[in-house]
Amino acid sequence: MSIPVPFKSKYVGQSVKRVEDPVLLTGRARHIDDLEFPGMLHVAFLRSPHAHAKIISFDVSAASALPGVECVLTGAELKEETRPLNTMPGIASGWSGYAMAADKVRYAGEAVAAVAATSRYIAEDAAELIQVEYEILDAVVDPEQAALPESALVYENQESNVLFERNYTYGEPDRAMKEADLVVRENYRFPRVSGNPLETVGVIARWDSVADELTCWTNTQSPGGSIRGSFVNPPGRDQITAQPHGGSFGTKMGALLKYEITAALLSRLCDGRHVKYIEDRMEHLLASSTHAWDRRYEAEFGFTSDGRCTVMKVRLLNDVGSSCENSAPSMCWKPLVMLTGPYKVQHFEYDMAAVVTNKTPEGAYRGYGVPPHTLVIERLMDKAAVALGMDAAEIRQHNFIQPDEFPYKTPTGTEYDSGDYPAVLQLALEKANYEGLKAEQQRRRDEGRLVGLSVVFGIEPGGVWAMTGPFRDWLGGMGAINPESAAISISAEGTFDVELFYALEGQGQPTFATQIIADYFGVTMESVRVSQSDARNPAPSMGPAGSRQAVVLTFALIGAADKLAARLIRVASNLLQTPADQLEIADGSVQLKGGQGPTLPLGQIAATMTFRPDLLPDEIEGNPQVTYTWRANRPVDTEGSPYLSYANACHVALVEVDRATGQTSIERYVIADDCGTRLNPAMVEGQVQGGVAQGIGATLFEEYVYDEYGQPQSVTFADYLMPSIYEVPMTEKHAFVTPSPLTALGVKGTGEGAIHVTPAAIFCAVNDALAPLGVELEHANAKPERVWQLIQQAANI
Amino acid sequence: MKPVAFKYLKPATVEEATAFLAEYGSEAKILAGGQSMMPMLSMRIARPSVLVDINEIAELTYIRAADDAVAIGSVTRQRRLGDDDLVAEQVPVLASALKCMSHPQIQNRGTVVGSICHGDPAAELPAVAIALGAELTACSQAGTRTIPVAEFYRGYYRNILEPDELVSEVNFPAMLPGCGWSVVEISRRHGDLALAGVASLVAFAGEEIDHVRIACFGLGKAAHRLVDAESLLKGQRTSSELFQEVASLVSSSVKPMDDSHASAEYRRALAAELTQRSLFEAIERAKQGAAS
Ligand SMILES: Cc1cc2nc3c(=O)[nH]c(=O)nc-3n(C[C@H](O)[C@H](O)[C@H](O)COP(=O)(O)OP(=O)(O)OC[C@H]3O[C@@H](n4cnc5c(N)ncnc54)[C@H](O)[C@@H]3O)c2cc1C
Repeated sequence: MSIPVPFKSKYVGQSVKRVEDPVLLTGRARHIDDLEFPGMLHVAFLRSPHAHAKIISFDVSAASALPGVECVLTGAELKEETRPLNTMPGIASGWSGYAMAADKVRYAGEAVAAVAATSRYIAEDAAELIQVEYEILDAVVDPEQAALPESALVYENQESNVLFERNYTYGEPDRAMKEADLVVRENYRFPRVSGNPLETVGVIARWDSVADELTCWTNTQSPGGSIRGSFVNPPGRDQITAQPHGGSFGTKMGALLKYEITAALLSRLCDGRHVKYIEDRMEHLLASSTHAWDRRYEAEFGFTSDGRCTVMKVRLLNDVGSSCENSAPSMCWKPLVMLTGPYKVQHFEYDMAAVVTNKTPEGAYRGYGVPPHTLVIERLMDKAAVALGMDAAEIRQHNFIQPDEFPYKTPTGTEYDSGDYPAVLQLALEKANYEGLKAEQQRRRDEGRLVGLSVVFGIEPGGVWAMTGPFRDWLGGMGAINPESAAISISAEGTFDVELFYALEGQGQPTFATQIIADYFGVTMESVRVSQSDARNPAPSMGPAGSRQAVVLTFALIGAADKLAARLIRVASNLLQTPADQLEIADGSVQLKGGQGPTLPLGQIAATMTFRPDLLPDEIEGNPQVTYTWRANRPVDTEGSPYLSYANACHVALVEVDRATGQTSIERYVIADDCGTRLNPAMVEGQVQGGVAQGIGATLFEEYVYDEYGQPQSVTFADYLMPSIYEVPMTEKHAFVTPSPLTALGVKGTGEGAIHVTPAAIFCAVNDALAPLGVELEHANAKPERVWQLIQQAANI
Repeated sequence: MKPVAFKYLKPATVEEATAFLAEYGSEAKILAGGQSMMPMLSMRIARPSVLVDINEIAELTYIRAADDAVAIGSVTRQRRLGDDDLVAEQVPVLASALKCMSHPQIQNRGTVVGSICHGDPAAELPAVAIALGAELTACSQAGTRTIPVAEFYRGYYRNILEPDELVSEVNFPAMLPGCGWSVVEISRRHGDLALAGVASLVAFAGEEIDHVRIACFGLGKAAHRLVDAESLLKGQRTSSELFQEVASLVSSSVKPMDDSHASAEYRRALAAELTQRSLFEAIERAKQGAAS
């Protein structure tokens, strides 16, 4: 593989070991729960047992009287001091409650009161003693019913439970559908799932009234925020700092806000003592405002008789749960940037509606809404292939955007940067021995076994650089830039310190930052140290989200390195009495281009800047440290693409469904993917394998189930089934590299690609297994009993 | 997820333990490996005011030969079932049960007796113990008594122990020579408690089934024997028709429950399938045993 790098690459492109692992694996990272402060109090919440109920009264007398309890705060009291949780800027307000329920509860598990006590044990004892009188209301559980006029209202101030409806039409879908030779349609359901990082969310708040300052230590994924605006009487200033965290997958974005507000208020009420709240696992599963993609789809695609897809119509009904307290319902919009997937389709209708129900609020999840959309596209491609007597691979090849068509403008105005989809598909087929698998499938089918084979393809928007294009709609028509920064300094010893402006999350950015900076300056990785700031005094950063860090941080690092290099060369030029344009940096020194003549070690230059600035002319800045903030040089307020790169992948899965039990076992799983330049192939594979695990989770195991009263049935890990190492096969991964022309080093995003495609791969394979029976699974979670029921149905036909 | 306050007692001998139990009666709960007890405490499902931790009672950690049986002390960890020679020789079905159960980390703490006492309806060991005809030794200050595991359960997570009693030992009769065995189950993930499961023991006299024990788990309020199914098989030659008959009898006689993982109807279907799988496997093993 050749990497389009502006330097000699010794480390970049290699699977070097991750530099952050020793700290993480030996438990030395300082996570939020590791922080202790003198006199710190601990919070426990009382949570509503009802999905929908009016709160008539609170009685906290017994709880307040318990020794060790410092403060009991009810939702009603909190309401007097705070403002409703943020809603999405582009959506009318009034679709969320407060950090705790004040007048009515809208989901089982919603906090109604909080206790601050000298230990979590006492706080939990006290929470049990709080008496709340409820008047139970009809729970709104089914999203389709929720949209009907006769439904009970989750928000009485609104006219219905419909949060928003949008229709995006491109081309002439109605006409195209009429003219289609073949129309395939189906309804799908995607299960309510969520990220489940090892570490749940946590916050420590200190509201110092004397200094008029609020500090929150958190494990937020999004650095640099402020929560002052949440208070009726806000502190003079506030700081939200981020500790290293044990994974996020989106769960540590908006979900923290309600806990930050409550802990802050408790701290103020307790004379500025530190107040800690760590969400426990049951609270995470029950009430973390992180459930995602509870979606129903009606989809209809039109094809020509020779298998060309001419039109796609997708209607989405999204159950956002009880509020849009963070911007998660915007996950409905993300598919707009890859609406037709890898296929050339000009006519499209995307019709979306989101409703509120009495369930846990929706939150961000890795993939941000693309995985269910990909599943719908891929399954309907399969259905068309069957109807037309084509092979699954063939119909895809037939519809792909071709390599010579990049940059490719999609109907929504998004621009795909680069790729070679036919080659990626071909690579996957070859590595999987597709023809062999098909023969094997036929052999076993002849024995009456249910064997399924899928070939699916997906697009991964990466490197989100701005809230532009289709995203402007939910920002109320505004665009916004998502910058990223890096700082580099060099010491007199010639070692480099690199600073990133968000907390350690685990994906491996410190490692590729080390690789890039070491290569750039021609030094060893050992002479580069990366630290991640707690965002106290941040340079602009959005942090990890939207498959962006490999793209945007690479830009920021190289920008910072260029800036530092220019300064070092300037100093060297002065010291060596040689024009700067004749000098270059190589092997940790400044030397004459071409390698002849004297060299000056970079450390010595830094030493001169620091200790002998008198040797330098005044106009040279004597600081061997630079900070660089990257932002894309593109207009924001356009219809353009919010993402810079569009990675792509083909997954081939072979599964067998047990006729007697409905259980699916995965036998082969082959992936070919093109995420452009691979800064560290092992880390790419780690991202892919993890995404596969989450995709398998969503389609075979995980599901937040609610009963007809809105009672959650999945509040422990015995009921919300995370796949383990036994359930997730080690996939066979193969790389295809088309460097992106739009990014530094040609990288594309890679954090979300596998979770985008895996649900489709499993779902299509299970359906292919069931095909001989003439039954079809519509629910994307192929829980054994669901599949078994279909098999029974087939037996009774 | 923090337990309510409790008094924590750590007896060093059975005598001390039974004295504590006599003193605190139903206020007290026994803590063995804690693999079910700790979650119940943390979720405040169990709210004892006294916890009697038996882990330090050295005299209760053993696996030893008894008269035609293997005796296992109540602090012995489940993991030992997988690596003990005596178990492998005399009651190999226990090692098969372990393979279906949880994960090594849990087996390293969880005790054999704790699993039987806890009596999760979907747990493997109670069913296997019943199939084997195992007995528990319960002791209190008043003395000791022997309780067949088959008579131990009284409905969902209930057993007949008195509040002052501690189980000190489980005694598994050695399997008959040439006896084939099988423990099969369907669980959502590897190591999960079963949606349904069947354990069986089969020995032949010539071509005919001479001895058969079948017990099921996950298919009712507690693990139990399937006596009617056994009667259909006893004295018979094997045939797929017979197995089908047995399977449908089992499927219609068990009384499984609905929950968010599986409906009763589905569990019944699994019962039929698992009965057949279990019998096939046990017979296969019996035949191999006879051949070797
Ligand atoms: C992730 C996970 C997966 C699991 N999977 C399985 C599985 O697949 N199959 C399975 O069977 N189990 C499974 N379990 C449960 C596990 O096997 C428990 O260890 C077992 O049920 C209890 O044994 P223990 O020694 O841990 O007892 P404890 O948890 O300490 O006690 C359990 C109960 O038994 C009582 N008790 C314990 N010892 C005695 C005694 N000597 N006398 C009287 N009463 C006593 C206690 O008072 C308590 O009520 C799983 C557990 C976990 C956490």
